[in-house]
Amino acid sequence: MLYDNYAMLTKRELLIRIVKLLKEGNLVDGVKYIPVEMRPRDDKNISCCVHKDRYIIRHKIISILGFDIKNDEDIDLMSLSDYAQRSLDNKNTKEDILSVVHESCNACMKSQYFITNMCRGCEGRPCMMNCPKSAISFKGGKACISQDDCVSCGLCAQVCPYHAIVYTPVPCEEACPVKAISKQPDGTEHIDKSKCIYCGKCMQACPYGAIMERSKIIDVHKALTDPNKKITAIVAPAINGQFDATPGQILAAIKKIGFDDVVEVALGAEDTSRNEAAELVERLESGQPFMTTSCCPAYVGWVDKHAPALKPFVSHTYSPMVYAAKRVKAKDPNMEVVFIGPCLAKRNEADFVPEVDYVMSFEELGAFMIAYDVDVNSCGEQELDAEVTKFSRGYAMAGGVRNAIVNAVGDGYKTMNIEGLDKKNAALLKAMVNRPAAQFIEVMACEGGCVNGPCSLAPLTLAKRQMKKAMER
Amino acid sequence: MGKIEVKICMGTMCYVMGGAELKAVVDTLPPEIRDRVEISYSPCLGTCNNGGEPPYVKINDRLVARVSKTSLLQIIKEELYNAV
Repeated sequence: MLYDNYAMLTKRELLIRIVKLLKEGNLVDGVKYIPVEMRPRDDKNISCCVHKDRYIIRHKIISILGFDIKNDEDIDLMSLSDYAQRSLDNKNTKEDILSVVHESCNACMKSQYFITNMCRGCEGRPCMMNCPKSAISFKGGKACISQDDCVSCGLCAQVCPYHAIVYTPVPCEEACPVKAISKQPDGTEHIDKSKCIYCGKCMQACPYGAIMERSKIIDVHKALTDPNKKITAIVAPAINGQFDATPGQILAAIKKIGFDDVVEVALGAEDTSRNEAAELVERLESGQPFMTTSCCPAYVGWVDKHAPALKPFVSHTYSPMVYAAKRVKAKDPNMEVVFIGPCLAKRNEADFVPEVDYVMSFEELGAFMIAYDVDVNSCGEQELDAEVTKFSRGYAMAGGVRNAIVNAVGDGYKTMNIEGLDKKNAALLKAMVNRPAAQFIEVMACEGGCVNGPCSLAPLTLAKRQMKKAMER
Repeated sequence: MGKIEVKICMGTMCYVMGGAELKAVVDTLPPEIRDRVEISYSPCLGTCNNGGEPPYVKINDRLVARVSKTSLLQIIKEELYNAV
């Protein structure tokens, strides 16, 4: 995973700058300076020239403002200020959850085995001898791979005594567990919505930060500052891994930004645990051999699009986000609800949940904290809801949902948890239909669970440590 | 020989812009270095607000901008070398 990379920091800096401008009420005028300020003429350009760097920043800003970045002509004809005004006027109607900044994406070669100039054209020629497709020939004393014939088996690279053959991957394509992202004839990547499960792996993997998520920060900020609107933040349990602070301090910090109320999604997890435990017992009694969780939207999307045979075994219980939002709306139907979490797929899930009005990532939350000058460690304690148990906060870590269900139904059942939807786990899950390995199976698309979500702030090792600490408090 | 003071800024700006990574990497310092540094976490050092290049780390009295987990180790080594 590409933590500690500048592309990720560029996105965060953009979010911070935009939220700061929103707070100052200066978005329309101020936004046009961002590309020049972030990419000054200093001979340190990243792409071919400073103009392209600025052009890429422009595209990313337009995406964050909530617009589609597919149509290059619009982007060239309209100013950033126009976009900002349209965004403030509620005309930011982007639907795609993930989109590719084409201007930024085109630097990757098609993934292939490639012969470098370390090739000595030896007499042995094991590459040619071992190639099952006769794709290698010798020209001018050097090996040459015919890309039309190559099937990327990799044998040539294994047998070359000089390590002269390298594999050049396309990082997003390698990261995608469902082959939803692929090259178009013009070299840029295209995401196939009929396959995408919104796990966010491509977004994390791209070294150019060329894959942008749909953002609602403009709308959330408008709801925050509109005196006629009330807005409650519901915060995923993974938040406890993001800062070295108590859960009460973190909630107080989020409230300080200006939300009317802050509720732990862990409260909704109490409902999920109760209902899912009852559902499990009921299903097993009715003769079904096993049940899987339903709280990870990337997993649910994967089942829908790639493993329909598993569908009857996925729990029908709502996710903690849905229960938490329902609780808020039941108290006050006029309250707007923003879910704040580490998850990209939640943006897709929320599109189908009327009780959730907006979704924000931890990265975006961080930008709000910076713009509003909120320091978590100097915040007081917000009183915690006594109903929330440590089992519910534990939902954020792999194995946590399993613990909560075992706590509810007792340990007389065979349970297991699966983290990550790589090839091995995908095959394992698909095999469950015929040979179930357990009666209750927790599935999370991110290795380590939600604390390792694609939109989180803290790296996994730190997040886990802080999470454990928060749970003990 | 006195220990080198390493103060990692944990203000929100620095934390979001890469400070979290620094915090995660501190535990992986090689033992011979770990024993010679005094690591602490500081509230906002106050330099990031107008522009600036977070995350900041203060090594003894020297303020260093845009520290990454690899450069942090490098800076500590430099400082140790200078201290000798």
